[in-house]
Amino acid sequence: MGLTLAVVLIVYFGIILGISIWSAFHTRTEVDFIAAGRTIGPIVGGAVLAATQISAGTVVGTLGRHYLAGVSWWWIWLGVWSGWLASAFLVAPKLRRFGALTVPDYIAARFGSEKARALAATLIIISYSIYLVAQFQASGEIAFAILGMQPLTAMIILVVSTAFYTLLGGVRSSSYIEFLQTLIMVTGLVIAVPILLSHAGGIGQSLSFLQSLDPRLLGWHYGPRELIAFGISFGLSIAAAPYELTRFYSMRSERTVKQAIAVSIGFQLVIGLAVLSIGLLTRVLFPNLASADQASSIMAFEVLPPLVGALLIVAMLSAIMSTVNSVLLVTGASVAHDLYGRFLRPKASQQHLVTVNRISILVLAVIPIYFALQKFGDVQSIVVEQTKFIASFFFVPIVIGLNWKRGTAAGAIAAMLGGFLACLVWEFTGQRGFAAHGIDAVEVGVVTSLVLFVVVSHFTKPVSESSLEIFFGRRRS
Amino acid sequence: MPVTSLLIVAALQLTTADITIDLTGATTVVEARYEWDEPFEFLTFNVIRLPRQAFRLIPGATSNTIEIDTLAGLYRVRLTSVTSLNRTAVIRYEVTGDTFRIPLAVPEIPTEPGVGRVTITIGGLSSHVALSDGFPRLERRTDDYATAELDNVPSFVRLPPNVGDWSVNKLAEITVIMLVALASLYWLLRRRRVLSHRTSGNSQ
Repeated sequence: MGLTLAVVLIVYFGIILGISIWSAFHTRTEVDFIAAGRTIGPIVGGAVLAATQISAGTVVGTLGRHYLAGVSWWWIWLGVWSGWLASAFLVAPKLRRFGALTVPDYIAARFGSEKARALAATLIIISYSIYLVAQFQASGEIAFAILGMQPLTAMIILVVSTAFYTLLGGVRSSSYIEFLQTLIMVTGLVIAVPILLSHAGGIGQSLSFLQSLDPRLLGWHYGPRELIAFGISFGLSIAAAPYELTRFYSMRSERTVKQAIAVSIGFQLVIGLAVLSIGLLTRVLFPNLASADQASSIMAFEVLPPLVGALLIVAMLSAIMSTVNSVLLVTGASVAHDLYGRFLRPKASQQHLVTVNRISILVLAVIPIYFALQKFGDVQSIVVEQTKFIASFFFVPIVIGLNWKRGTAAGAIAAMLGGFLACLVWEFTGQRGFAAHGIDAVEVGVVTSLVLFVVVSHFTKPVSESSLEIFFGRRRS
Repeated sequence: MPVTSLLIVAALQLTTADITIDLTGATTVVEARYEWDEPFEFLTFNVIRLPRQAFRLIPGATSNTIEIDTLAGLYRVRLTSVTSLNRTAVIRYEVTGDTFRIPLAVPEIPTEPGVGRVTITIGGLSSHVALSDGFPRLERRTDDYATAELDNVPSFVRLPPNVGDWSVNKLAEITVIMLVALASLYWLLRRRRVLSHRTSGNSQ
């Protein structure tokens, strides 16, 4: 396994290096760096959206959640895909038509407020830094389980390699690398299923064992109420997730964006089913692991044949790298484009902004390592927390803001701040006292955000018609 | 249910498990010796039930077996400690019938990541089997004796098929190689087409 894994890793990183260098020669302006010159087509775009969506949270966290809790966790995918569909019909076409570079660009233009832009950029940096913690923690888990490597070393290697290709080629290199990563993830995960099934003695034998081990594994480990709450947090956050939305800007047209979302859902369906099967079959083969997050790496290293195991390890690595890369691109752009470029050096040259973006990426990549080493929770729990925050402060100003003309800057600021604080307070204080009512923090956050948006907008001055024209005017043919 | 409650919390940790499978006799005999880092009062083990297979504990060799539940997919074996300082448990049983997969007794208290060590030794293996196709992956020590070193106790040992027999593992590896070859070929053909388009564009 060791030699096979080494060869597969060398080939993988060699290809990434090649794509990065090629992209660096094609990246000259900020539009090239943040939006790949708006040249991405539906297949690569769909794979990119899938790669961004499929993270450590999926290949380590979701797989581990299926290992522990069984089939019922799969229903959260319905929430995820509802979010994508909402994005495809209510968000993506308008955002792509607007053609900006970042989500705070949209916030500033739609509500005519630079304060709203600054707040959006700040919240993006905070919430996505939490997301990076989960990705880094997963990389540490995998490296420790497979190679016995110290988590800190694994995290440093991950940051250096991902930051390298992100810094070099921006979204262009990221897009082609993520296309490759999605193909690796699909292949590695799908091929693993029949092997595990053959070891486990077939479908009937596996189901019978799981049923006896814990009947909830094949039934309802989570109740519908919990699944709805998880589904809402994933769905609402995806409909308004800046690291996904930013990728729309790199695609050729509004039509390309819709096609890419359909392609992405197809990839996610295959990956989701494979992850469910692998989680359950790993439970059959190893019923008592100390940590569910180890399920994927143990299965790759101890169960699968060397080449398939190596491919799966690269798939896990790809999932983490692609998400880290997308998060770094969106947080780096928030610092360089939305804060530095707008408030500190408005007259900075394109080249200067690209340099600041690269430095920001490097700094933002290093900070979450400290928190990842503290291990605040399992990977999936950290991902769920982060999605709750994103949904609470971004869903209303983005999805409702794009479809309700009366929303104002003050309303958007109140919605973002109020939603964020309501989610934070409920999650860390109130929820314990009110858990019996089954009200989740994301629901409190989104409802607070919506109420504030409507009420504050109603009592404040409407946004000028000229600002709204691009979002609500007739489509140019 | 709060998400954090899903973490498996266990103060007691399995430190070693030495499992020996003897294939030489008329029946397959398994002897498993487990050691924990602290004394235990009682322990539960799960043994997967396989079709066309019988599982029987060998009396006397097992530390205080008190109960076996026979469920649809598994046997549940409960042991109590012999003394208040007991940190080890031994389970010995025989398996008859279809022994392509040999079930192991999996303790509900797991190994500590990076610390626990599970050793499985199989005696009486045919010298004509492809060890890499079994589960877990075995290493041959002598002609009829192979071992596997793991971090966790698996549900069963799946004996490897004979060399040359059809194997899902081999098929999967061939599929991966074929996919990589096809993808490379597609990329080369596409690249050639792009280059020829450029050349014809320049010549016009």
